[in-house]
Amino acid sequence: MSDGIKVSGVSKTFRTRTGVTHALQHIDLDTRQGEFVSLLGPSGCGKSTLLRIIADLETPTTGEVRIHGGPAHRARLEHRIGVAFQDPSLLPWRSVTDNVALPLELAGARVDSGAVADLIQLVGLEDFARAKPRTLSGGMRQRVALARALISSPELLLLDEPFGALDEMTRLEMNTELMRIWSERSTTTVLVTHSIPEAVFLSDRVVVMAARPGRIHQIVEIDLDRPRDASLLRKPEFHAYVDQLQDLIFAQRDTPAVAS
Amino acid sequence: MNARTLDRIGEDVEALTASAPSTPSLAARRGIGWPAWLTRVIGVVFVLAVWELVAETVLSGRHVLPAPTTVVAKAFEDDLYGSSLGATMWEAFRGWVIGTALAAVFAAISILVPRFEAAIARLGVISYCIPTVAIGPILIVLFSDDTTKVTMAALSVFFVTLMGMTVGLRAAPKSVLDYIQSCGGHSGQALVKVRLRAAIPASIAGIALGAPAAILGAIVGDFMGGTKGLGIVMMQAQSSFQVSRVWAVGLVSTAVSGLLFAAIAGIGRIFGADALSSADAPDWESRSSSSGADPRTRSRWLNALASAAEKIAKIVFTVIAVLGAWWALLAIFTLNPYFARTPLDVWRSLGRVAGIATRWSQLSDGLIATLEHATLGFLLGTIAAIVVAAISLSAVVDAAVLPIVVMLRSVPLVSMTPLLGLLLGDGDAVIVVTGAIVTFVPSVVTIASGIRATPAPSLDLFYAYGSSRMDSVVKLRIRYALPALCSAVKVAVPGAILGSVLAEWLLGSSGVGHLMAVSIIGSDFNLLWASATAITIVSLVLYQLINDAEDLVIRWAVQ
Repeated sequence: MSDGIKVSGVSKTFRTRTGVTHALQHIDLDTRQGEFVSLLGPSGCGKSTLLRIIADLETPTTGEVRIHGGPAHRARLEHRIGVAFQDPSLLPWRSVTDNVALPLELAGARVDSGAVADLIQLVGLEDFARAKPRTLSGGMRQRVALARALISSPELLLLDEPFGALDEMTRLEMNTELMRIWSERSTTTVLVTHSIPEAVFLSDRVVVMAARPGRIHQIVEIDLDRPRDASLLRKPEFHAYVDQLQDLIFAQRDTPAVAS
Repeated sequence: MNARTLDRIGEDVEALTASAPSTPSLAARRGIGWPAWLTRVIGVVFVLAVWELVAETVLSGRHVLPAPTTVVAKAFEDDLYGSSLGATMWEAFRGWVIGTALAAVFAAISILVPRFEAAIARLGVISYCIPTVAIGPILIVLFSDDTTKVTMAALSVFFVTLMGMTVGLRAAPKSVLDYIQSCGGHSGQALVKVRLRAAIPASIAGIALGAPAAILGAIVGDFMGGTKGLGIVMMQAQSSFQVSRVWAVGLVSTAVSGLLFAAIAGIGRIFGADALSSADAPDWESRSSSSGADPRTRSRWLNALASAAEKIAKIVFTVIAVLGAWWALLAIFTLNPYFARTPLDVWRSLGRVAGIATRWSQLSDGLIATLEHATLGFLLGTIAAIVVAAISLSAVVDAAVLPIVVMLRSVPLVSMTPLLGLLLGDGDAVIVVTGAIVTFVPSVVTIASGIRATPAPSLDLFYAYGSSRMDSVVKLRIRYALPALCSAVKVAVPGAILGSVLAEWLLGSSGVGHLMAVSIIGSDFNLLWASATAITIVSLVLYQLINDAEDLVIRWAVQ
């Protein structure tokens, strides 16, 4: 098994006015290269914080993160990470094409306009290549953000609820789209989500997290055949996983964690 | 004037009223450091210590920069200027009450009768652009010096307070107003239960800023003439080279302004702590989409022609309004015709020779000199502000320097001109530096908040992609900072003119301010009126032109 992400002994505490908050407590997580892992849990379980630590946007209080064998900050500085957040964060003065090309510029790489155009086509926005973000719908903006996350052919794709603000129908559409694009590339991916069906549909493994303090509750292997498409959503084995995860999450409520 | 222009005026007010930017810097987010107040205290103590050291060693015996301890000792030795302070405070207080009351009335009208909203906003802007120093000499020859000082204090207060209150009354989130309406509440209930409550923070910020503005107006009024007041003590001390006294008066007026400002702002914080506000997040997207007329309805050329015509019309309107106000002043008060000249009198006299040259050539020379001073001062101040704002992104400067600049905003800066005169002599330098300082202080705060206007997720994005520092600034921060930079420029220009004219009046040997001083001494009231009118019109027209230029820049920035 080749190394993907290796999170060892990571804790994160924030000092607030009322005291110390344990956002994350002793997280260990190993993923394989090319694996799709989702972080699933109620709000406040630290799933976004964990993703931000993997992206080197936050420093852990204790522990360390290694990406494909090296420290996280090296992966970032070598421009090997692709990200998309809940907020598409497009630059309003740039066209769709220029927004998608941004990571290449930041990496100091040559902007291959053919590759940019291909990716824009892949997310179905070829008619809007020259449009400004404000003329696009929310779903279209997220597609641009997704294309932007993929343009630099990152080794690691980090997605923080990228579809969280979308309506259910657009979300489903974006999930199948992401699945299709990801299948072509098999990039090591971490997705933060609070949607159980989304996690089951996309992931190889789902990491169920619990809150106060933020910790890993259980890891569920999703043994469903790939390639997956929308028809999967109607299959009983898909629903069995959804039910299993639902039980895991709601069981937490009945047995509150004892802070250690 | 459309709704968008009103929004922009709102932003300018935020530019004027903004406190230190509160977005934590990247360094702060990364968790470096000790409590912020400690850094601030250390910063202030450090500045004072360096000052004391320099004054006692390098500058010792040169009588330009006394040590802080000497200044404090002098202030107490002079009994804190009891009766002069009292006189200035009494004038400032009446001006403040009048200015605030007028502002409240106009703010209420503009909310209750939306039709007048644009006109009232324009009135506020005009009152802000009028160089009080220019009309001071007119007032002092027409009325008593007490009336002059109270009027100047009131005029200085009016704009910030009006705009604070208007912004406040418009701050109520639309969703909450919609909710009241959907519950069957009427607009009166919306006003009482939501709008007034939401208006508190911005209104009190406006009223608080009005306090130092009133003191400033009263002290500048002292510079026009009279017998009693802090400004008069300061001027006399400056002309007789009583260095520590000049500084001590500066210290006393600063302390009083600062305390009043802090006290009122403190009250505002208590009442406004959990007030509703929709003004927190600037709505970048909706703002760009609402810009400009719909280009499809008319041809491009017709559009350009129409907007050019509108701009010229505004300038013509400004000139007519100034002349109209002049004429109205003469019509309402029965004034001694020896002092009170009509526009027509003045116009006829301009071609005649007075002293060494025609009044026309004296006036144009004066205007050119003032514009040179103001331009230099403005450039100097703005460049310095950009540099300081940019380095304020580092944690130490952010915590130590910005709070000092914010404190400087409650200092009656223009009234420190005699002090600068001691430091820099009576040349052009002091005029330029006065303009620069008046530009610098508000600009730093505005530009610093502009540099922080970049949304956090965009910063994260650049960071995660391993962006270089240079790329983050050039490709991201500058673009988001442009609107604030425009606001800073717009607010600074009338300030730079005001500072230059005042320094010319007190210390200069050229420029409109100097021309006015000379014309009062020589009883050339035609030239006095002409100078005051000309500089007022120039200030207003420049503001208008910058406003139009800002349109173009912002359209480029977001499109």
